[in-house]
Amino acid sequence: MRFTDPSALPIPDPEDVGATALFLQAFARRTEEALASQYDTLGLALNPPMFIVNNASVVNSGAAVSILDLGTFVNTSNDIYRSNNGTAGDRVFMRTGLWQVGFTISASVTGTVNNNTHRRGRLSIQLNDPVSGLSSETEDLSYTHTEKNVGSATSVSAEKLIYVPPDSARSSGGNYGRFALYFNHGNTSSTMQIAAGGAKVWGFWISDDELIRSA
Amino acid sequence: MGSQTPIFALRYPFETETVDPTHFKNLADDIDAALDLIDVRKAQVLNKPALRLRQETDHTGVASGATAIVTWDTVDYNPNGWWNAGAPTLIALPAGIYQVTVGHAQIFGGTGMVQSALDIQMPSGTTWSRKTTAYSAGVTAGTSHHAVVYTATPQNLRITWSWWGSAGTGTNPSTALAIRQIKPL
Repeated sequence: MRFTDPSALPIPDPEDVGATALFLQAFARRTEEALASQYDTLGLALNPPMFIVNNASVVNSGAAVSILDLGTFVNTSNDIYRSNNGTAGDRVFMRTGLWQVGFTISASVTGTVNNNTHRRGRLSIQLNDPVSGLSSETEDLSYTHTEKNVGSATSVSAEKLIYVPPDSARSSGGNYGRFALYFNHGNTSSTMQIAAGGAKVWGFWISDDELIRSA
Repeated sequence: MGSQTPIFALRYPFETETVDPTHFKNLADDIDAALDLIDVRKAQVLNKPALRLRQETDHTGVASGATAIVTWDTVDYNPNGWWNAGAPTLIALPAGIYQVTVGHAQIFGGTGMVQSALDIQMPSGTTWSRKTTAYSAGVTAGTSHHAVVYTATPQNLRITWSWWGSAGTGTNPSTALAIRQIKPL
C-alpha cells in the first residue's frame, strides 16, 4: 500500500486487491483525520481563545495603584469572560502566536481637581516560561491623559499586538501571561477613584506562529 | 453491517465483509457530508459579522459638559442588520464579544475647548469605555477610541461624545464606527 502526499491517504497496490475491506477501513480513518484537522483549525478561528477581566471592587488611588495583578490579586478581580486560559484567578494561558491585548481605565476625582495634571494607565504583561519559571518576555503599553480642570471622569486606554512565544520545552503550545494593570495620577489635592468594573483588561488570539497548510 | 469513524461517521466495511459498490458509495456520500460541514465553518470564519456606519450630518448646539448621542446616517456595511433606520442611534448586538473602533476628526465651535470625550455605551446609557483627549484652549482635535466589549445577552450599543470649555456650543461634523464580532456566545 502506498500513500498520497501530503495527507497520507492510502492507495492500494495490485497485491492489496484481496484486502479491499481493510483498505476502505484505512482510507476512511485517514480521511477523517485529515478532515478533522481542517475542521478543528477553522473552529479555532471561529472561537479564538480570549479573556476579559475587570476590577470587582472600587479602587481608591492616592497616587499610584496596582489595579489588577492576575498572579497575586492585589485587588479582587472579576472575570468577565475567560476561555481556554487555565485556572480562573491565576495566570492566563496564552496560545502561541499573535495576540491583541488592551486595557481601559475610567477614574473620577473625589474632591478638588488639579488642572494640567496627568492621568496614566499602564499594562505590563509578563510571559513566564512554565519550564524554567523565568520571565521570557515582557510587554508594556500605556496611555497618559492631561486633566484640563473639567472634573469629568477621565479614561485612559491603549491596545497592542504582541507575540507569545512557545515555552522552552514546546510541550504546552503556549505560554503563561501575568498581567498587571497600573494607574497613577498627579492630582495632589484629592484622591481618584475607579468604580467597580471601571478598569478592564482584554486579550484575544489572532493567529498561529506557523503557516497552516491549506486544504 | 460495518462500522464508522467517530467524528464524521464515515462508513466502512468490516474486514471480513465482501466489498461491493454500495460500500464505496456510502463512504463517498459521508465524505461529501463532512466536506459540507467544513464549508459551513469556512463561510462562518470568512464572513464574521461586522458593521461600519458613519455620521455625516453635522451634530450642532451641544453645550460644554453635555452628553450628545451620535445618530448614524450613512451605512457602509450592515449585512447582519445590527443597525436600522428606525432606531438610528442604536446598534443591536447579539450576545458575543466584539471589537469596536470609533473616531471623529474634530469637535469645534465652543469657546476655549480644552477636552473632548468619546464613549462606547453598552447597554445604551451605561458607559463601557471612555476615551478622553486633552488639548490647548483654542485648538480643536478629534478622538479615536478602540475597545473590546462583551455581552452575554443581546444588547444595544451606542456612541456618545462630549466636550468641555468655557462657553458656547460645540459641533461634531462626522463620526465613523466599525464593529467586528470576535466570537459569538
